[in-house]
Amino acid sequence: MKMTRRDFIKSQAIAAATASAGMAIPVSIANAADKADDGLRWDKTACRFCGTGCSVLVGVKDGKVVATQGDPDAPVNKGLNCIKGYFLTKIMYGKDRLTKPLLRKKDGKYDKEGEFAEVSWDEAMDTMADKWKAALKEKGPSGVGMFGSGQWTIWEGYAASKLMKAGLRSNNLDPNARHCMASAVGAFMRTFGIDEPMGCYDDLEHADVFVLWGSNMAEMHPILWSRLADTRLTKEGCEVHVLSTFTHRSFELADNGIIFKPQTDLAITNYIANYIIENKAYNKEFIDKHVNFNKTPTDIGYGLRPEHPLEKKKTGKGGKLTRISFEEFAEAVKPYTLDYTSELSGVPKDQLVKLAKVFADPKKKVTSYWTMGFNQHTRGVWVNSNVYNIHLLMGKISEPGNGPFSLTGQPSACGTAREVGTFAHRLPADLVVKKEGHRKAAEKIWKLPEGTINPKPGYHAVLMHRKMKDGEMNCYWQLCNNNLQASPNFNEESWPGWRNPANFVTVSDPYPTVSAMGADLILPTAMWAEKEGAYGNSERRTQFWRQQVKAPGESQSDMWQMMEFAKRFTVEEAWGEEQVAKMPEYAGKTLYDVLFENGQVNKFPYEEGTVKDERGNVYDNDESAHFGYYAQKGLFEEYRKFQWEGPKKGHEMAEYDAYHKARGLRWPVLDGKETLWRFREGYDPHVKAFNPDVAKGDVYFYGNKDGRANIIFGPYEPPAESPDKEYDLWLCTGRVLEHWHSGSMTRRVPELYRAVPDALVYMHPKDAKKRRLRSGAKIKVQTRRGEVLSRVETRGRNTPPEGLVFFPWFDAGRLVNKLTLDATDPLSKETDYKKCACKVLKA
Amino acid sequence: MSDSASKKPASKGRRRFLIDSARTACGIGLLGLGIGIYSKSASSMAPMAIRPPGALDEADFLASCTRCGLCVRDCPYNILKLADVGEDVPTGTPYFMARTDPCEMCEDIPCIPVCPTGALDHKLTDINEARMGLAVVVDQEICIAFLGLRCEVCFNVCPVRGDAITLDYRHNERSGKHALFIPIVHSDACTGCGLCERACILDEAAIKIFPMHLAKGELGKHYRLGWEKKDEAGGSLVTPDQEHRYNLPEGMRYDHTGEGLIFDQANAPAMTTPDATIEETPFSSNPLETLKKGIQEAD
Amino acid sequence: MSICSLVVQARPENLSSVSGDLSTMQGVEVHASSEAGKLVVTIDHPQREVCSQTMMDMQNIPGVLSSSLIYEYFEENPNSDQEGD
Repeated sequence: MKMTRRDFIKSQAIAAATASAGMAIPVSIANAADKADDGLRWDKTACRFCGTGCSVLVGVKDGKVVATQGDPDAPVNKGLNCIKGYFLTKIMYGKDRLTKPLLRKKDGKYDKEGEFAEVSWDEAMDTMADKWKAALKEKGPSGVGMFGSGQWTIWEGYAASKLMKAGLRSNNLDPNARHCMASAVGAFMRTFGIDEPMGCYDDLEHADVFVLWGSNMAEMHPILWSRLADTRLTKEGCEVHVLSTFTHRSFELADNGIIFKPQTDLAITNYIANYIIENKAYNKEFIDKHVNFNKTPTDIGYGLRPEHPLEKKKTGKGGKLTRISFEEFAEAVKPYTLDYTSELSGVPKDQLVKLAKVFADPKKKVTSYWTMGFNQHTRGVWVNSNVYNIHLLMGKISEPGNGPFSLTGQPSACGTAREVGTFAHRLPADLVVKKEGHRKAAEKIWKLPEGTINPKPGYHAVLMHRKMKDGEMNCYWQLCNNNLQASPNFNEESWPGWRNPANFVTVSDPYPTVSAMGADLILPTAMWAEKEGAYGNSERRTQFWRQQVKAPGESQSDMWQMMEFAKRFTVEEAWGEEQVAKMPEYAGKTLYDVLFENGQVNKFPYEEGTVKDERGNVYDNDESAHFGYYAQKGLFEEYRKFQWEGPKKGHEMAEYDAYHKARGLRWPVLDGKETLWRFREGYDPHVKAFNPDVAKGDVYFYGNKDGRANIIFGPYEPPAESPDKEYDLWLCTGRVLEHWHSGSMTRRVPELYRAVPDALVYMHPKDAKKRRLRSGAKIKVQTRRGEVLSRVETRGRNTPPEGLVFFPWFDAGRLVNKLTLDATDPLSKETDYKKCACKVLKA
Repeated sequence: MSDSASKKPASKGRRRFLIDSARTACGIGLLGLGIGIYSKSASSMAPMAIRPPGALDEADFLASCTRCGLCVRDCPYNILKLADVGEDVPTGTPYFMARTDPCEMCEDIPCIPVCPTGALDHKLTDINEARMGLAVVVDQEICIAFLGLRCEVCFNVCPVRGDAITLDYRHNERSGKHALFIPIVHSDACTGCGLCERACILDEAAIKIFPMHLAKGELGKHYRLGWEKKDEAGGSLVTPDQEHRYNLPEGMRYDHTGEGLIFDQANAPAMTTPDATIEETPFSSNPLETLKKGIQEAD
Repeated sequence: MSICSLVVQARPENLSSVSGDLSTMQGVEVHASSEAGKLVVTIDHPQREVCSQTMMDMQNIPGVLSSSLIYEYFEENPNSDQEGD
């Protein structure tokens, strides 16, 4: 029986009348709900919000996702979802989906100041290609850039990397993960020589103590938090320590809730190291065998423009490590006494001691978690490393329940941005453009003439905007994110860059976002389940899904867009004659031919019926149908060559088809087996391969040549901008549970919009009183860079201490990034969105 | 239908000036009069109409309210309405519906001082002391928090934060490794503002505001809660229990008032329970319109 | 579209004739009835006014004692019969 909406309403109507009449509900009506599930095709997908990586089942009928449920067979979430996952499928059905390319035009022609008009894909791509070719000609490869995403599927990221680095020979490719995970990556590479956490989510059940450093897991990783909470409830002696600059939801479960003054986390981490050393609690055997001690240049500035006074003042530069002795390290952390640290951080001494003790107690298993509090930090790499220092001093690492665990914010920050390497300095599988060996390996796998890959790292996220403002980078293509809303210092850097008449900005998005408003060309984009996809979550778990439905109108996936764009360049235009001459067989071909029809990406044939599940259901794959081969599989299998044949071991994934069968697999996948804890014999087969003499159950940090991890001393240094007499409050930005990032999807779900419609400024009641503000009053928040109107909230879920306000950034009507400062960690180039000075006035 | 009419406060019948409307008029009368169609669904009837803050008990309120409409005029958020003829609220009296227009809990409660008769009690000066109604998690089978999903929107939006709604953490037996975050409403702090009901993300809210008399059970008048009385008195009401001593093997203790038998090696610290009218969306359905408007500041 | 449901109270002895008369009215369907003379009826018509008029007309059917509106759903120009969700 076909159940229409009319039938539904009618059955409701009948049920209501029947109940009122005190009669039994007719059987046909009672079964109506069940019947509605008839003919649903259920399949698994991965949630496209947050780095947790919950599996979600979607029910499709007549070409539309009409039902959804948490996947009970998924080990991460066991059938559960958070409120965003509950509404996951609704994000595709916002009433204002873009369905046609839109180009700014005046009098029928492209014009930077024109109005958006519908154009064909050909006109859109041709216009864009003309602009890109002109910029390449004038400025070389650095004249163009692409800004991608940790929400890209793995193959989208891979295709982007290939198009930019191999095709256009430009390393100006950076993901929004730069704003999110770059500091974590920096510290992983410096400390362990290999990216991503050693542990996995099972630590959540095995730890005795959890320490949250700058992470509000309760809202930002909701399902992981419910696992942590369960352990706290059911495990005897389990403790939760939460550190933040303001009180948030995670403090509800805290046994030790620590509010510290912004930036003093650097001091607190060093205090703990000092406590461990002074009390001789450190694990001497572990240190002797597995650790090197290092120092790093200090006073390295704040990643601002070079002419900024703060940059002129700096005395140090970069992050080159210098080996020191244990004694020198002990001496370096010695100033971080209890008295000094408590004074500096504002944290009561007993709370600091309580925290230090759980680390120093060899019997307690400690898992540390952190996200943006540590990463969005002008000393983000240092402070990440400082936590590694503590875990390494105690040897509390790489075993169930013991370990530092950097959580990712985005669903595929790990899987796409980091593992595929869509950063300005990276290549797939932990390779970097700077190293000749790495470039050569990539050129070999990609079948490129030697010297194609540019050895100079490209522009990172913030630098791209500066270069656009300065007119040095003239073409910019943003896909799968909303950087005009997300990027710092909107008024002085991003907006002027986007609207600079010299520049041509393309935005690929399903919705008319703030970025779309700032663009010159908007490309309508297929999202999430409208394409075959894969994500990699925080615990190294790679998850696949099939295309469930078709995208509306003329929308196309990012992968389709990039591959089609490649058709518009000949290798001569992109590489120059000299480079083509090294491989004359490529002469006259397009980038598409060379990059994608290279015998590898187009290796797997596709025809209708190729993609089907074990139950015989057949799925669309619109891109593969268009290109005539199984493009996603070809891209993934070529990417796997980097893992299995490249110069860096440790990232091995299983073959394509295995992932369609599994609820994700945690890499390295060796002999078909997943790896749960890395660097420890017995858990990780690589350990024995790298070090045949390793003792049973011992660790070996094979990311570094000598198998040792680096302890790196990072001192306390003040933030770039602190409150003063005029701008007397700290401004901290962040997220809320109900909305994802810039809200471009979740604010289009009516229920989520109703739950949290606008971004409020959370403030201490005393601060509000001082300014004669009632809760709910209209206010102006001002910084040296801009002003935003909002309302004050003194009773909300976040309760800042006096002197700090928290202002979420999901609200397109209240652009918090008009206020923020574009100060970055000079090592990771990640912006500090957590600290700048503001004032709040009655509006 | 006719049953529910009898649920109205009995005292109301005494007041002859009341136009006691919709429900008794339902049926032939209503249709015959051609008044039209009022009910959207059977559930959206009068129990969901909530009085403004400081309203006296319903009987006294109806006796004192002059239907002047000043409270409605002075509500800065325009949530208060005066009942029309035919609505299931006595005509001319003020009310709000939490699902669509909850009370925003202004700190200065502007609706109260303007009330000329004290139907809205002028003694109420702290909005947190208001008791407009009581939030009740009416459907604990469908509330997704009880199913283990991470929602807690009601808890998050509650303006009497951490007091009116708390979260009770429980083990999720089904999944085995997640916790449930169960919202619990406390009548001693809930003002009945209805922000939670509006924010509930379900198609039909699982948490609803009811007028106090519908929401609250009442303990037998003879019965006192011993532990509360003891707290109030600051100690036992009768002679405190003597100290007990027990025959026990080594390594074991007995806590008379609390845990009972304790194995010393497993003497873990006791577990404490931690403290635990909007547009559909702000976007036009036409993307070009949104783009044309450009970047706009909200108020 | 406009859909409403009603409980119609008929004299028990007139139940079958009332049920028959109701069924002949435009957009009216009878879904259930009880021995006590209650009938569960829906009216489904694009125009809301027609529904109201139909309700009035029901009063005039011989044997009908009362009719009570229980549920009304009204929507301007529903563009199509979309799948329910």
